[in-house]
Amino acid sequence: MEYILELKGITKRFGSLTANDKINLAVRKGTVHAVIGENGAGKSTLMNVISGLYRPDEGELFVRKKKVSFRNPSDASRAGIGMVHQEFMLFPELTVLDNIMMGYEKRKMGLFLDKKMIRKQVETICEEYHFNIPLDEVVQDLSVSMLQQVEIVKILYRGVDIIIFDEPTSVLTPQGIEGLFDAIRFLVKHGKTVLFITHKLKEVMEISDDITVLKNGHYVNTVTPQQTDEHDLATMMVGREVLMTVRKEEKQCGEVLLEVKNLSVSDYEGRAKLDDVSFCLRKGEILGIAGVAGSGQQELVESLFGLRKSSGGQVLFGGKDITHLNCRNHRLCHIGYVPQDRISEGINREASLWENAIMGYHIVKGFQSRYFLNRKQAVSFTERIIEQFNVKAASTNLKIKTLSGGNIQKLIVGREFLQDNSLLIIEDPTRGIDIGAIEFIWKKIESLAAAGTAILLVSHELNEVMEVSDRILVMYDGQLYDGGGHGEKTETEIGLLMTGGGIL
Amino acid sequence: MLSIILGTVTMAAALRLAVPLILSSIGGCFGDRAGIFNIALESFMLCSAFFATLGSYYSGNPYVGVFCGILAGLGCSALFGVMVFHMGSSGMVVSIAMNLGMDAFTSFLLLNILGKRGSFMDPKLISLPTLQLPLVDKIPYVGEILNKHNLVVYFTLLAIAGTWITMYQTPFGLRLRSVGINEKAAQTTGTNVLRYKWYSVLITGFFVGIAGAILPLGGTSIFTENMSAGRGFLAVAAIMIAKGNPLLASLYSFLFAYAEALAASMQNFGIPSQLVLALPYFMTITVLLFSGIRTKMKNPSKEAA
Repeated sequence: MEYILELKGITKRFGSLTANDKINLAVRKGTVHAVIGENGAGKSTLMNVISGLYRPDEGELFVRKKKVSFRNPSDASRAGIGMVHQEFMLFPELTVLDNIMMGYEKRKMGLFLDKKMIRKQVETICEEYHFNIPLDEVVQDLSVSMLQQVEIVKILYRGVDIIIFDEPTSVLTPQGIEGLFDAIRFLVKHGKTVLFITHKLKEVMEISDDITVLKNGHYVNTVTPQQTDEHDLATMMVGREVLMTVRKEEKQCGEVLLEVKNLSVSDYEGRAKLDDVSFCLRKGEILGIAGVAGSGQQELVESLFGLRKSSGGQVLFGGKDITHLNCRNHRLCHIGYVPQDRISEGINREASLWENAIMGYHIVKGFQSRYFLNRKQAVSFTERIIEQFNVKAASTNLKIKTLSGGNIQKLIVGREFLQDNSLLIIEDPTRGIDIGAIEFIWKKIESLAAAGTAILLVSHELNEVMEVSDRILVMYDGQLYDGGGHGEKTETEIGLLMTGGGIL
Repeated sequence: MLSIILGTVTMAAALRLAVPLILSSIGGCFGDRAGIFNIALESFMLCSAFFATLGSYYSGNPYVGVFCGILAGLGCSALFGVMVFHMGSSGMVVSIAMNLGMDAFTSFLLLNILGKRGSFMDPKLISLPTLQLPLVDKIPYVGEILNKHNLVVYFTLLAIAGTWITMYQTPFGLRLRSVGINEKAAQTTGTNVLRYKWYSVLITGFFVGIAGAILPLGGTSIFTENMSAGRGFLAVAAIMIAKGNPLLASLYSFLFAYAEALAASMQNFGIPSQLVLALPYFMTITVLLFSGIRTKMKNPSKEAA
């Protein structure tokens, strides 16, 4: 067996945190090798070591049986290793061609850019690997899946033959994912080797030849898809049995808490984004709203939480009209909100963990002693979130932007869940987090509801809505349709409603 | 009236006045494109104006003066670089400190080295000689505008082209721009971010150094306190409107200078002097307005957001 890339005993520490602990990895030439693990298992760190962005504290790296030591990404690139980062490493204001050539320019007369020559090479690569990207467009105008193709072409232009993908599917639509997988299969057929990081098990089973599991910075095992199944992998990743179902018990919901009457929202051009929507939500009930992204869920949630003005209709909360209250007053009514866009709406990137943990609750209760923040209380609350929601963070004083996306999500969810809210509006609570944590959050939602909290769950994962909700509404084109109670309709039926089929 | 607006005298004066603005704005473009917030050009300019005066006065050679000016510009930018890149200070704060401090610093040196207050004039302080170009003077109109300037004026015209080519046609320029857009991504392409930042701040210092030197040595042969008189800020404005494109920045700099030259010509024309004096600033606002409208037309979607 020929190993193109071998890692022996790689260890990488960040202060007191050991992100990678004596990790071994052997990648066969011409295969797709998946590296899986929960958030914070050390996948990204390991890949950054391989691609030269980090230098390992211990351990050895072999490329084609030759021991190497990378000082920077260019060294890795020279050894034939390139990485497609999770956050694209692109320059939005420059053209696609400029982005691709960056750092690896061909020159004429030793001084000037030879754009013609570079263009020819890039076009050849695009042709050979069936990529179709507009070379002269400015990058910021392109779609996400297009950007990913630009990244791949960029790496190919550098002449690498080991390509690392860091969670490439998390930003793509299902069609985009199919396209990416086709591209990966094509690359492998042309003799490239692909390292693929993800925590989505379905994808792993579909695309990879070998699967390596990491857990808490340790190497667990390497298996092939033939030897295993999704359930086994999940168990290996989390270290215990994972049940991806929430056991539903028959329960009695309380009185009506939230009543939405004929709510409408228009966009700035006067188009109806939300068209005469009515529903009610009882205490202790979990109401799931399914729908294709952009069907009006965001408008609904934002107008319910006072982030957006409605153009008509009424929202009653415990009999009180809250239609025109602002966010602060919504919070004062004990309404909690987990926004979909965790980075721009859920947190303040520059603030510390503890500041973020009390954000929105600084006036409501608990964290204020007359005029000053009660730092001690805030910190202990943050520590409670960190402990209960298993956030991987070294200190509560860290800036929150140093955490990974999944950990930020857990902190936001923890912040909203640990307050005694009587209504929680939750958008995509499990986006970008691993299955162990998903299971945990689902159970939390369930237990909050059991304690009498009304929950409005808006999710783009149909599976999530179907599993967790007591009652399902489907949003299509700004209107709500009945999706039945828990388990009443099949996935296909609801899927049909989501796309406007079956509504006539 | 037309003879004043487009007359060769006005145009030649505009060119002369534009030179320090153009030089400092094309220099500043490099810093701007590398993502460095530097509004200290005013102080760089004043400092180099003083040291250019010293150099010319003691050596009797104006070119030595210009060289001293360049050294002073580089010195200022090195100080800025150390503070911002290595000490982690904010570019804004360092800029403000340098701008406020330099006026006092140069006045102090003026008093202690040259023993003068307010301004310094001496027969031994020699300006750059003007050159007689052999072929250019034969061209009608353009020849009259372009002929009989000092060496730095011609250098400036070449520098506009040179900086534009460097910025857009060389790997160096591409990488420099990449640093300003996304530092982390630049790192993954193997670009040494810190090194490129140093390059760009030193380029800024070099050009602003020449710009400062031309103030006392461009024909007036006089150094006065606070001689830069806001030119550094005008250059910063030109850079920001041009979004760091040296060609556009030069154009805007020229427009500012042209307004100033026009104001000077029009003062003999019976128009209230207060209005005339407001012209350069009115021009600045007009340029801003037009560039604003242009951006709006390009991205109508941003308006809605």
